[in-house]
Amino acid sequence: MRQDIMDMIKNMPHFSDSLFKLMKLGDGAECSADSVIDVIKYDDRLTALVLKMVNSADFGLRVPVDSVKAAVTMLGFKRIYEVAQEVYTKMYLGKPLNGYESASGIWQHSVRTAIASAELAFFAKTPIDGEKAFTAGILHDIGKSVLSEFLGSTATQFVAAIDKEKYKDYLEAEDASLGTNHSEVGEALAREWHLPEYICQSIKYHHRPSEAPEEYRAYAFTIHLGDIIAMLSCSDQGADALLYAVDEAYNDYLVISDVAIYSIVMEVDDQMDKLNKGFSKNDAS
Amino acid sequence: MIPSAFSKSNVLMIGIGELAASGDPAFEIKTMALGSCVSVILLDPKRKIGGMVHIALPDSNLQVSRRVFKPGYFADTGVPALLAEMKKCGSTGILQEMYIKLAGGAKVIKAEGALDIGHRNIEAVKQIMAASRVHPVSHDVGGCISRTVSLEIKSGTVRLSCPGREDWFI
Repeated sequence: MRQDIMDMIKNMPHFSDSLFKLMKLGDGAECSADSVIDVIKYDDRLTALVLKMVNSADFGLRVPVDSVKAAVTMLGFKRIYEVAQEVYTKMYLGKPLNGYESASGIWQHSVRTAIASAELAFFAKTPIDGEKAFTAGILHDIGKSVLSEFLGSTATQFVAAIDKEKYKDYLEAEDASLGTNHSEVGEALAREWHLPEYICQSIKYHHRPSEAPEEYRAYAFTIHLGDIIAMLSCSDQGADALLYAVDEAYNDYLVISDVAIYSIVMEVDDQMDKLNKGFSKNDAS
Repeated sequence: MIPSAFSKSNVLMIGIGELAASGDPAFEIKTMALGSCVSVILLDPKRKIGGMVHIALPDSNLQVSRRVFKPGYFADTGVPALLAEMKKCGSTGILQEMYIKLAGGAKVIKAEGALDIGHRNIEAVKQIMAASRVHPVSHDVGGCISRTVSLEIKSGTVRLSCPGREDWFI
């Protein structure tokens, strides 16, 4: 079974060339406006989206903008990159995942995790980049898109077994049944797509951050806690919702007060509200 | 009592921090995937009016401005706001005259302290009820269970559902 899963990973289509190009630009030391424009202008979906954004009421322009160059200058790389991630991950992760009994997919949960992780990055003892935390957060569960196919109708028995403490969490149930789990499969998928190392490590260790190599542990804990905050504030990702454990060592990597955690819960809700309204208005999916 | 059928139409969906009430027996009020959030359900048995609020956090002092535009977000402002909404539908809006049901307040495995937001939400709601000397007639709270909650106005029955589990009722 495990080999079948790894074989499937090799044939999985990735999100989009444009998103990966932007990801590489964001990961590099230099990210020029020209290089961003070159990515956007050959992608009809992103071109339409950035033009729609700059011509929205938020900018209050008297004369409509019709050039990608002007739009990129106005929006900035950070905003464009975030929107590209939201749009393309929605296409990928917004599909039903029957193996997890998730009718609407895990996109909402993934974005919630991304937003929470970016906010949590401010509280990391070892400085980490909030934008990178956002990216690792939005991709943390991509392994489920592969594993779902192999899980069949195991959800009911997994949930019952965890309730009876036969397994300590859903990850262990996946391991026992398939010989692998969504974290491991997600990491393999990220490596197949040549994603940066911090993303691969964050995906692999988001449920077991203490086991991450020391240099990536701050990212792993940030995504771990972001995932948990996302689950608590809206547990809509499927049968495995809430059936994962907190790694209590998060306090060694994040210095965060109770009030700050509540503030992040509110921030995630606010940003999701805004995003969902934007999607229903623009029908970007 | 298990309701005969839940209609797919006439569903008032409420999101995080939102609330709704209705006296129309054809209606159902529903909220999706409560994690640590708590759903407080109020039923006015004399006038057959029901309402629900989806509470996210225990105390509105966490963000005072939010009290105004989303009072349902917090336990201390959410319950009074729901009572006011019930009143608009013809209820007296007096907590002591209501049947109260609670659902939600879950956590992830091993969550404690600030991460056990569900426990703090439940405690905040219980304090409000204790101040009015009332108790829930039924509840299903805590644990590591995601709960989707549906209130059928006609019967006052609350159905709970979660992927991987059979539906249950309170």
